[in-house]
Amino acid sequence: MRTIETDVLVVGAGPAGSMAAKYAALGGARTLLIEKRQEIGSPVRCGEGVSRSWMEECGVKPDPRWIANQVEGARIYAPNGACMIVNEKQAGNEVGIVLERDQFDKALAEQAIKAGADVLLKTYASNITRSNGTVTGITGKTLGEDLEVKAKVVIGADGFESQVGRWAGLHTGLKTRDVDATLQYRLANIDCDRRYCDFYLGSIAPGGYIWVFPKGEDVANVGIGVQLSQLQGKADTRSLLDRWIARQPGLAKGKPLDIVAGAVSTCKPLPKTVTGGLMLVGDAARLIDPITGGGIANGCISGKLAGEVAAQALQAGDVSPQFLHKYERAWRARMEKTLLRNWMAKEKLVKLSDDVFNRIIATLAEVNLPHLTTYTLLKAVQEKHPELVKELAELLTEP
Amino acid sequence: MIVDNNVCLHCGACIGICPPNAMFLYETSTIVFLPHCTECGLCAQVCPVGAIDGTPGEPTPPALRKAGAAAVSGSGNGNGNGHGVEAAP
Repeated sequence: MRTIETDVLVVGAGPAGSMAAKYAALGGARTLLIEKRQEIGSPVRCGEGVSRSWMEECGVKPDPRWIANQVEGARIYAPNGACMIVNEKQAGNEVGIVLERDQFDKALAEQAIKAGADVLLKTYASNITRSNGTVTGITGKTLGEDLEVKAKVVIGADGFESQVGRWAGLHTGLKTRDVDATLQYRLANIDCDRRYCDFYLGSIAPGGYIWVFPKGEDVANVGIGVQLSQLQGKADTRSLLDRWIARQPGLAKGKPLDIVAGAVSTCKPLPKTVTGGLMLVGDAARLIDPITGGGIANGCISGKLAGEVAAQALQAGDVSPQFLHKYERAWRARMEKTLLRNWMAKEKLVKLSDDVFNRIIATLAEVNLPHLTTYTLLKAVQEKHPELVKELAELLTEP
Repeated sequence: MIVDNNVCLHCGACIGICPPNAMFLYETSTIVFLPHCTECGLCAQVCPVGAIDGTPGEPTPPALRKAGAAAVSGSGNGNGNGHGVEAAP
């Protein structure tokens, strides 16, 4: 049995965990980051498309080492093949980079290490320890050896499959309409346009979408997300993606370099992400954008906020839920409104028929919006086809 | 419900949605703690590659339980494999 005492323990070395460890260490806390895998960033479980807009806030500088491709914009395809192009400016820097995610995760972990955090690989938590209702650490294994970590603050950055929060009694359960199952191939020897990330909407991916994110001239991540409530048979997700790829002349000839699976939450913000001695960040806190399924930006931002609050809590000698609630207030101020609005929009989008998607995209392809938001998009549609957005009236209030 | 670790990509999709939290992801194996499993079938439904067997709402047949335990024991997960035994009745 190995016993380690630390100030802050971060469980999971994805982007959110590394950011949490970095900012806790920068705040002067003794920080330990544990990762179940033998290698940070691998295997990749991600579409790898990310915007640039949040990076400065988290002290992340775009680096050629983890940039596979920089795109000029996104193309959104209706079921009938019509397409609207969204350039980066219109999207408020929301499209941008296709990552080398394994390198990206390592670069963020390096930041945590440089800030002073310690790292243990092939180390997992199998339960939390508590005292008087406060989380005081974890038990688990490190390289096969029994491990106990005693920590003043634990940060759960253990991803979609988060266990830490559930062990501590936080309600992170999801409804089947608030989860998308995902599958992706990195396909080689395909035809793709590396200037654009492509999104395909409609019944080809019920309640989700298909994406083609080019990693280079003839390699792209081609993946699908499907709403769990719309899946029936075994391996439906794979069948839907395989069938779609087979119908695309430019992609069908491609062969996979890897296969990536996963799930993303598309829920509204949780009521509670903090308890005594514990904060949840990133996917573990269900902070994924319900429309795009993207989790990196919110993961990094929430990780930073939690790391800062952890360091402050230690300085104040107060790890009570009341003190740690400062983290929850901070992430809510930063992203709750957007998450909630996008969840509401998602709830409507998943019900649209192919015909309605065709008409909406056709309308939007005609108008050139200077700045794209859910609001401006819907407003543009409303002007031409008020009947299409009738049901979306609640999203049509000026933000 | 039983995870076929020959098909499983260890992506964690099933674990994140399992209502009784009866599943666990090791580095190279994903298992169901059968005593906690309510056979709701959500794990099989969400699995992107169809790695999970079992009929929702029906207890996992003993033969499948044995096969599942053997699959976990044989997957070389380096965790002492005690969980293979735990996964079996």
